[in-house]
Amino acid sequence: MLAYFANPDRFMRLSAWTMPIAAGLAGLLLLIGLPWGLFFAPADFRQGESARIMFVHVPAAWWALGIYTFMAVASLMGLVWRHALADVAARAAAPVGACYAALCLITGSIWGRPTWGTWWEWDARLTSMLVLFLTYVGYLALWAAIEDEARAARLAAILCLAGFINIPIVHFSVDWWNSLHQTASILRPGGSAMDPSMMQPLMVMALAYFAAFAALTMAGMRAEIFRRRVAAAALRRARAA
Amino acid sequence: MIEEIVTSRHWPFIWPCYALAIAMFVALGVRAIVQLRRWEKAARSDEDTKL
Repeated sequence: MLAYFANPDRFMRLSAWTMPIAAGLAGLLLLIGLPWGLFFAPADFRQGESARIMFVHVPAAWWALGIYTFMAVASLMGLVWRHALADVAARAAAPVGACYAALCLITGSIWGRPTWGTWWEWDARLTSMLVLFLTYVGYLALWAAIEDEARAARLAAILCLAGFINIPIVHFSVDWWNSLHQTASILRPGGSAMDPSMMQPLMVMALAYFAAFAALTMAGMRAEIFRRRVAAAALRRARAA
Repeated sequence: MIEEIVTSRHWPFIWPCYALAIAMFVALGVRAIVQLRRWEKAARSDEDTKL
């Protein structure tokens, strides 16, 4: 299965029709989910209207973690099995993950002001999420700083795998340490504590974020494959001359 | 219901989050389209890439 998708030509044929579908689905789900969360979902009985921030904040947090996990798996495949598209996939996913992590931090800070009375607190969840964002930035900076692409891919993959230790720390930080941030209310033992009237728009937004990630990553991968083909052709010409 | 939301004391905290999310998706989408068009055009106009 993995070897099947390691072929760039096969990926280009497959992504030529799956990428527009993912982009269209993301646009449609955002058109449904954004107004649903902003105007039609009920207010929270304790937090009031400010709980509406959840519909843009929580999916950003989930997928910032999910995308980093995807990058770590791709990095491992690139290092161990030399999967031809692994580093391309990890590199294309990183800007999306970094933006989701930044969105999570900013919207979380805005939500914190009316809820906790502060824009920022150096507690375990907020700090570990900031570390995740900085890891994304470091990963992208490493790719940009090294000219030799094979070396850049190897070092970026090692950095990505080292940074993966932060993922369980972000997830379990609210259980392991005292935190201002609430504990898990959906992925928790005993099932979700959220009412379906709030869960439904949240799931629509989570799917929208995922579809956007899929479309943007496939677009980034296609652009990178085209760029490598142009670079390889230029190299062949230079050698022949 | 909408009037109740936009006149609530939390509205100044809510709308910037949604505006930021929309701006982020627009920016990521435009960046992806520009990059993809640039390199696809370069690859298609380069005979040696065999597209």
